[in-house]
Amino acid sequence: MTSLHPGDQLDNYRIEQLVARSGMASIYSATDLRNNRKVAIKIPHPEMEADPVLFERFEREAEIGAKLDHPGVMKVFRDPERSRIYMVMEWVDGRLLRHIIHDLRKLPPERAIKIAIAISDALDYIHRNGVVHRDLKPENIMIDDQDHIKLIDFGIAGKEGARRLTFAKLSQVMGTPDYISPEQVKGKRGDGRSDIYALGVMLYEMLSGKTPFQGPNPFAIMNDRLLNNPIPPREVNPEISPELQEVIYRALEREPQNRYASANELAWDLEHLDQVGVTDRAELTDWKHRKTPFARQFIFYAAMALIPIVIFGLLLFIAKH
Amino acid sequence: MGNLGSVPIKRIDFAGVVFRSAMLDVEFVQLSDDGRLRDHNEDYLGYFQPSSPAQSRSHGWLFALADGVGGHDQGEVASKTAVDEMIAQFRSAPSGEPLGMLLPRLIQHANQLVYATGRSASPGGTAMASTIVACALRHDRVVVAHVGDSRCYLVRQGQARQITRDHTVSQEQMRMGLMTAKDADSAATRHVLSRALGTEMFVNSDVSELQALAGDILVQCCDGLHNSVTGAEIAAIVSQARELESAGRELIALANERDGSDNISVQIIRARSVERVGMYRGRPYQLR
Repeated sequence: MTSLHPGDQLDNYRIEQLVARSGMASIYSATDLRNNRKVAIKIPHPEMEADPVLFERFEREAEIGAKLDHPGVMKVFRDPERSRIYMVMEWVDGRLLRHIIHDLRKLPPERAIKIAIAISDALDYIHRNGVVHRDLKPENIMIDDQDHIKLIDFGIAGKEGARRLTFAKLSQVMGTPDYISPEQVKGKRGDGRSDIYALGVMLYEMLSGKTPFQGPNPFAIMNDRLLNNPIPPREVNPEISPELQEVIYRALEREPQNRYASANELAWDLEHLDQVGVTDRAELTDWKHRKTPFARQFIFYAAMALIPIVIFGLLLFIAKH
Repeated sequence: MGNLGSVPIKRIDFAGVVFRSAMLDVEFVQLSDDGRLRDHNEDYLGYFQPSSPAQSRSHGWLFALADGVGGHDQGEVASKTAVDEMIAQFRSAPSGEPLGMLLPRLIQHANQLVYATGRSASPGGTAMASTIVACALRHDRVVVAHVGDSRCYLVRQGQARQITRDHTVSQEQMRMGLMTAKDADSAATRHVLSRALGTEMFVNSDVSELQALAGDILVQCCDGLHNSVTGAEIAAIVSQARELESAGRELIALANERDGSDNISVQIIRARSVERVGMYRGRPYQLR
């Protein structure tokens, strides 16, 4: 398959330039010659087209994008007459939230709240339409000059992938280790509350400049959220109000049933922080006590090692008496 | 291709060999089937058979089974590369090198080769990867090393014991006490390998060492078999069969009947007799 160059015509679109290239696809800016509208065209790499799982992911993204219509979700345009496989999306001027966090490190609380409310609105819409994003992260959120957001990349929003993968490709089926919910870490498919958890992680990151769970490798980062509590946001950034911290904790609840039930509830709390009741949470004191999965194993082996010592002691006692 | 009894086996690699050295006496069979849904086979099996009693003592036997990962990434190339490399390196290994040290070294060699092959396959490289399980027999010792979720069972007196533990995310989490065995069996991460050949420059293999008894049967298989046939069923089939080949075919037929969505491969190795040895100053001597 030939690569495209500026000025080339692809069906009804004139290619302007290559704007991004990922492991899966290349994205070009282009002009729709029928109405002069600027669009983005995503063309999968040939090796991806040959991979059933990746290709299904691409098709799923196109299918889901076409059925959603919300200002906070990137639109995908249907066009049945295409000479090759590609996806046409609305052109969005803006930057990825990842780049904004990278440049500013910490966002002012007012701005972080505004972005989180906008993401919540978009999430509420997609959840009401039966779609769960499942891979929400700053890399998948575009933000324009007025802080309007667009959710992008619905690649793993659909079906469960049953094919065997290596750990390096975990995010193709599960989500990204930093933003994945505890139920997804445990191998569950997750639901809308998993997206709310990811939004809680992003809110924490926007306000504190780092993600709540750390570790030497992605596997440890994933598992850390099952055992430990993050550093309280106010410890990292005192500008965060106790009410805002409470909202973050409610979004980051380990058990989905204790989390916000809908993105709408989260948005409402963010809009009415003065009405959020602050509770005396155990997480505020427990976070210093770090647990590791190996502690339990260590106790077990230590107990096993003690058995012969106890038996020897007993024999010694019996022999002496 | 053809129908063999009730088993629609599409491809068979069969090598039923009885090698009677003065000491260790081994018979084995290896079978591989595409499964009911796939049109290609990403599994690869191989063995090293000593050519003389002296080589049986100095090197022993090696059996390796690899299961390539991920269609587009040339899983079949990864599995073949890994097994061929292991066997070639085993053949040229120094005489008498302890198997417990040799096998991890061979797996690391194979890993490096798969890794390098993947990187050089295209300008961006591919994520070529494979599992591997290998068992070596010498005197009365069996050493099993593995990476990934291909398994080795020891069947003794009709009972199966799983020698290997799967390197999958859900199994690792279960061992860490983060999820129950029941949850691990149904988790989406049960298909995600926590370790595989070819994904990193270095790989850690798990090694188990056992004493072999006459009549012991070792069964090495890929997930296409153990996902649908339990260890107890494998034990029942291989210990009751007179011919190893018929046991292998029965196992493949059962896996195809219950699922058949993946390639199915199995190696069955029976120790007819073993040479009992002791060690004195690092040198083996025969026990009577």
